[in-house]
Amino acid sequence: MDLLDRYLQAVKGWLPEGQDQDIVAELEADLRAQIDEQGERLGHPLDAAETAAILKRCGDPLTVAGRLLAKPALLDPVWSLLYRFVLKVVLLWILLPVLAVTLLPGVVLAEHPVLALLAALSRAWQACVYAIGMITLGFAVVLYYRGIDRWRAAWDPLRLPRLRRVRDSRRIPRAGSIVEIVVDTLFLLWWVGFPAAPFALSIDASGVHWAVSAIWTDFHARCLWAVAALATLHLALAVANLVRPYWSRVRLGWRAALNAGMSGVLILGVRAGLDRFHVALSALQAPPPLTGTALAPPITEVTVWVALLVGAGITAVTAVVDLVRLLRLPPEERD
Amino acid sequence: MNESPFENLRLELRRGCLVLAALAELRREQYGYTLRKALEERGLAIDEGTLYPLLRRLESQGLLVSEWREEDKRNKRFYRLSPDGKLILQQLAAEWRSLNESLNEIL
Repeated sequence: MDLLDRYLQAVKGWLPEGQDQDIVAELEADLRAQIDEQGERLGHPLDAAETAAILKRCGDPLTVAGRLLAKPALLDPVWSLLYRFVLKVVLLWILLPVLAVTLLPGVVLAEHPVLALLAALSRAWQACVYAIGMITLGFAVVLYYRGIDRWRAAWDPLRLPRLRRVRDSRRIPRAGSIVEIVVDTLFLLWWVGFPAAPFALSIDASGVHWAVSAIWTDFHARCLWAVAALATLHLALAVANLVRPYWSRVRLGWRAALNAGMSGVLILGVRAGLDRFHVALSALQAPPPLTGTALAPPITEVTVWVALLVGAGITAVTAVVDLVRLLRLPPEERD
Repeated sequence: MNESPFENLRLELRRGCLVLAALAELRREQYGYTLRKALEERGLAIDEGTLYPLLRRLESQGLLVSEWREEDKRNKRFYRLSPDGKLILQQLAAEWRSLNESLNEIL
């Protein structure tokens, strides 16, 4: 029955969430009845090739998913599923990250962030319209020449992908929570106890020198209690997750808010340190090249500023991912 | 798009008949596979990809009711006619007989 499970997994992969369980369960009951009946007729349980013959007769997973869904659409159901899949991959997994990486830094660093955001949204909208247009045009060409029909006819059930492990999306690994508790605790100790870090060490003939980052010192002074409060709440959340290792709507919302808050604080640090960053960058680029101990301060400033920027991006993305997960929790699981 | 004109027209002709046949078969409660077998034995073969969307559509129109139940250690979705479905079946059957008579005279 491994082949049947692989087939059902492949069909399910094409169906929209929310309808997949019901549709696949009904198809499974039908196919298992067909397999049983054929086994009784032949007098032995079906082998892989005999099961594959039944699945081949049923159709390739994409075609079957399209027919079972059978919603009114401009394209036939199979093409509609494929079109939606390609749009989702291109817009969500390629275009969105590219736009976020290329446009967001400009918004964060702009003198007028709201205007910069509107301009970025306009460019993102144009890019989306262009991408959708190109994909639609591509589909029109492929549809015209029926290129995929040959692939569908040559489909072989025995070459279906292996079964994936079913993962409970609500489960929080305890090991992850323990790591978070340790990291949060160390971070809090470092944040509160070592305000002079990070610093750059350089060693030359005259001895060991260290340079405190002005960007960091300023950020630390401005945001000491805000970051400490956010990190403490994050630590409390990790403890709660360890005790009760299942995501709930409240806890996902809590984590999204904490990450969004941390991102906001880091963006403040990035904006406050922008002038110092430019000065340090100019010092590194201007002739004559800096050498020895003179190199340490600008390198430290640039490194700290970039680290704050990267941290702001990572926490913002994590907040968005948490929000998406929250929205995708089935209603009965949103406690 | 590749089908011949005959095939397209045949499918069109069968589509309406299948709705009537499925409703008539579901006067007795059945799950998808037994319904498909019953229709096939009477010369109305129908594949999974046609039957299950049809059943869901008829259920959403209030003509069928369904429930998931375990039988032979397997979960199956059983369908039967709703009170509205019984009424519609009677009306459709009368319409079918009338059409059949007319067509027989024409053909």
